[in-house]
Amino acid sequence: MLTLEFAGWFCCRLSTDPDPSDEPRGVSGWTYAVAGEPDLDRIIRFQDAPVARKPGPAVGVVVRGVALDGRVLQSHPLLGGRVELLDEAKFEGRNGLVSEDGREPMLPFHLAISGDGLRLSRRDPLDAQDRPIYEIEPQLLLRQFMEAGDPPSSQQVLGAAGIADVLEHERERARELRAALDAAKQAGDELAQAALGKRLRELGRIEPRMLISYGFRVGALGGEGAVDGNADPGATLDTAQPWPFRAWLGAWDGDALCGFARGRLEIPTR
Amino acid sequence: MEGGGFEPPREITTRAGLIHALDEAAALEHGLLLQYLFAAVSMKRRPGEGLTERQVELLRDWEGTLLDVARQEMAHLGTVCNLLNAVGAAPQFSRPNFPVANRYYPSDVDEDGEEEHLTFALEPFSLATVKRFVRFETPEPEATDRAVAAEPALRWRTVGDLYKQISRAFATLDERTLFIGDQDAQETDDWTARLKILRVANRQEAIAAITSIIEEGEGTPLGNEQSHWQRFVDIQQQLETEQSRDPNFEPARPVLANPLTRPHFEVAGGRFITDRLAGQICELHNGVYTSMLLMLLQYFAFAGEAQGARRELRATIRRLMSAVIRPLGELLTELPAGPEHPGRTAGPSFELYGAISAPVDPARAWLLFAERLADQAEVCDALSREPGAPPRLEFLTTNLRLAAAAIGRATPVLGPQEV
Repeated sequence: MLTLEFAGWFCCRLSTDPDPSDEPRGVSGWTYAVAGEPDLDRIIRFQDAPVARKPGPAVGVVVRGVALDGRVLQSHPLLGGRVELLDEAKFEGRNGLVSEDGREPMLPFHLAISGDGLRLSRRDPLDAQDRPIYEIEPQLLLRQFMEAGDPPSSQQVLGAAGIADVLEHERERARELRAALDAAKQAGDELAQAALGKRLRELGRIEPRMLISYGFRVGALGGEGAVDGNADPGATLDTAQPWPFRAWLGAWDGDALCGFARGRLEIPTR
Repeated sequence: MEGGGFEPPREITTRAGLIHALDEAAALEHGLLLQYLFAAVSMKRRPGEGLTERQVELLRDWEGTLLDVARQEMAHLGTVCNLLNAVGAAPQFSRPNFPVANRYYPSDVDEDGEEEHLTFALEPFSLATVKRFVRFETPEPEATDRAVAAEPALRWRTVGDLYKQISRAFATLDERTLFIGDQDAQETDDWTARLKILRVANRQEAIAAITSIIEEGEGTPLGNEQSHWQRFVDIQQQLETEQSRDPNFEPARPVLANPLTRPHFEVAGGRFITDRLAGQICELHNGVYTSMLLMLLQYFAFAGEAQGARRELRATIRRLMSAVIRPLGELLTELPAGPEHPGRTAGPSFELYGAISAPVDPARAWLLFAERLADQAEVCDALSREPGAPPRLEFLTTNLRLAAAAIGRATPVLGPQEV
């Protein structure tokens, strides 16, 4: 069994209730596209955020540990590799029509992990019959959660994200935003002033949702796996058997529109 | 009998009079919130619409305020339905179509001795519109003696004035016989963290609920910076400042005021959307809005559904507001109103094409709701395939299908003898 442990900050520029889930700028919810930024789109990006909000965490979910049959490897083509969700995966809540906030399925779910000359990928079909979302039973839409068991504790989520104190973290963010706003004023940068001013005004309205672990998934990736590249994965990987997978997404930072992801993928070997 | 003109009764002295006043309050709250919603969706949102980034932020704040106040008016409407329930009456979601010139807010008497009224109209956001909103929510320090009764002929100058008359009636009518409604059959849950509907079971709770509505609207004698009135005054001042700074500042899209898709006998004024696609989308918007009102009527009527079904009904109503009704209203303001209105765009007309009534039997009512939503999803799907159709319609088709499926799954089962 090849085991990959991954973690890092992801970006999701999503609107929030009561704004419509396809609201492009954010009006009545608590997330916004600020001046100079592209529209909100709900896409879950583990890499390559379209906007790097500063201050804010650097986005990038990477492989932090590799083990083969329980033996930790110090060197492996996938160590430090990029973890991605492909095909513009989104939190499909649709203002509760699919599911309520915090229990929104990530659809489609197409995972890829690529490193030095090696790439693994697998698309997990939600529904074997590939029915449209409005024909799928609610229990199936919630499969990612139904199979999840107990979520990680707030302490575990914040510890993984490197946040010792949520309130102090937010105070520090406010200080950084004020400093950046002052600098923008001195530079006469009106665009930055509009953007930073909006973030600073809204910061106090954002509830301490960093404690929430709002998406996680247990079970196994179905469908057909793929292994590409010339590098040696250390064993013959089985692309037909399901790949056991467990991950959570949490520590939501509504100001930076980022969250922290942590998980483990296991690939059976032959 | 001595001569002299007939004077209808103006005091609320009976249950029937109180129900009449509460019906008026429900129609008033409903009419106010739609005007606020219309102005909100008319606002420009992007620098590409001739705005600076700073103006985009100003407009976003104002739009957020209008939407927030509209949601609070929805809660007021819910509380008024609870008050109606408390005194043994039915919930009320009917109202006249826009524009309404001679019903609300009797104001001063003009030079010809005719009483003037504030018009209830769907108008895009502007200084004049905001000033009208300020007037709607204006505090009245002293309750007027002007009385308001078969059913009284109500007379009032502000929302607070009407509610103070209702409050006096709750204070004076015999409490022992007034509260005959099923006190367990009232909406008490918060619809969202920011939308609280108040339960009413006795005189004290009724008066407290009315006081709460007045204070959210007008504020308190000591002031309330979050009152609707104060928030609209703030917008007015900021808008005046911005327009003096930038005389070319135009905050709204060129949305047709009081748009209509059909003639209504009670409506004088209004202008017809003549663009085919915009007209069809506006009719779809009116259809979904009506579906939501029918579902609200069922919800507040407490017709015996199981709690699980009621929860699903409430959730679907709330979801329709955000996931279908508002988006359809928004996209209408970006579609041409038609060749008769050069340079103008359409807007949500919130027309009611008939009475808001649902079957008494819940199972049949639910079947009707699911069928309406499914039919509306098919209309939305067909419109999404029209040339020039906004891409958002495809997304909204799926949302309508999801709503129809949710209601279909939760529909109470008809008994075997009824099938």
